[in-house]
Amino acid sequence: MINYILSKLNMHGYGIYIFLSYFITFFLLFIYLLFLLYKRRIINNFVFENKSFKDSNGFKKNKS
Amino acid sequence: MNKNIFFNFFFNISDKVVFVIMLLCLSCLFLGLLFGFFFAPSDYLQKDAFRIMYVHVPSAYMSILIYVIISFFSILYFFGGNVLFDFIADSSSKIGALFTFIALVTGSIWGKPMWGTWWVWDARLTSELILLFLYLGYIGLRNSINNKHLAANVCSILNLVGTINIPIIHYSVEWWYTLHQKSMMSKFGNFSISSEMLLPLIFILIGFFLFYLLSVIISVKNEVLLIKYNGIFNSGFK
Repeated sequence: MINYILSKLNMHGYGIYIFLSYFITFFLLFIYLLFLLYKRRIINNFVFENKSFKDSNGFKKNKS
Repeated sequence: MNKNIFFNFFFNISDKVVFVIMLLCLSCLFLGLLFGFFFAPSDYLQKDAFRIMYVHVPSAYMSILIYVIISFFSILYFFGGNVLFDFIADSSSKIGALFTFIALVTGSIWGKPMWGTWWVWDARLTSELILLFLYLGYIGLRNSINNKHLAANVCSILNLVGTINIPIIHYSVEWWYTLHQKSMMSKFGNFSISSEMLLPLIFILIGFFLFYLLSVIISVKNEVLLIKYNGIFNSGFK
């Protein structure tokens, strides 16, 4: 079974190149999107709760 | 022109449309990958290695398209002066640089099995590399100037000067004898590949464009939130 999947993924010997190009592309795009959303979270923290970076306690909401 | 109209527009609609765009983007990418891997036949010469095209070509198209979009908004900012246009140009430059980097890396990975080398100083590759340097220069220059209004104007000029590189990238494969293959689209509606291979390409191209829209909307909303917090006068813009 594993051999069958590997032979299918091999794709005429180009499997590693195809995997690398798709992995790099979607990994970079995903990381960039995560970075933007994380930045939004930080901004929301001090815009809506009026907290500075220092006061936000590692960017976590202060429940008190 | 009232700046608040644009600000409030972005502030109100952005979160509502982000989710819809994200769903559409994921659908397009899923369909593109599905058709690209399971329905598109192997190329007679390159076998399955041609499937790298489905990430390489859309990223290259996006890198050029985003540069043109930045030029458009740079001109609008230059003459209109609306801060939102500059935010769009600024956020576009980062995702544009990312797409250019992806196009170069995936092209290099494709080049190794097909040409036997990771890199050649070919006209198409070199002009695309110059585009990456233009993007990086644009981002670096913007961050090195504290006065954001001045930074926006200077970056607009840099961007407009760099626009000369866009036709060079596009026509490099026709003007010079290059290792890189010629464009698949010689004229509109005249494709040199079969429709089974073209369909996934179009899906992923739309998916990447939607990703670009998504990232710009999120970035611009971030900047608008900061403006709302700091105030327009404290933000570095006049």
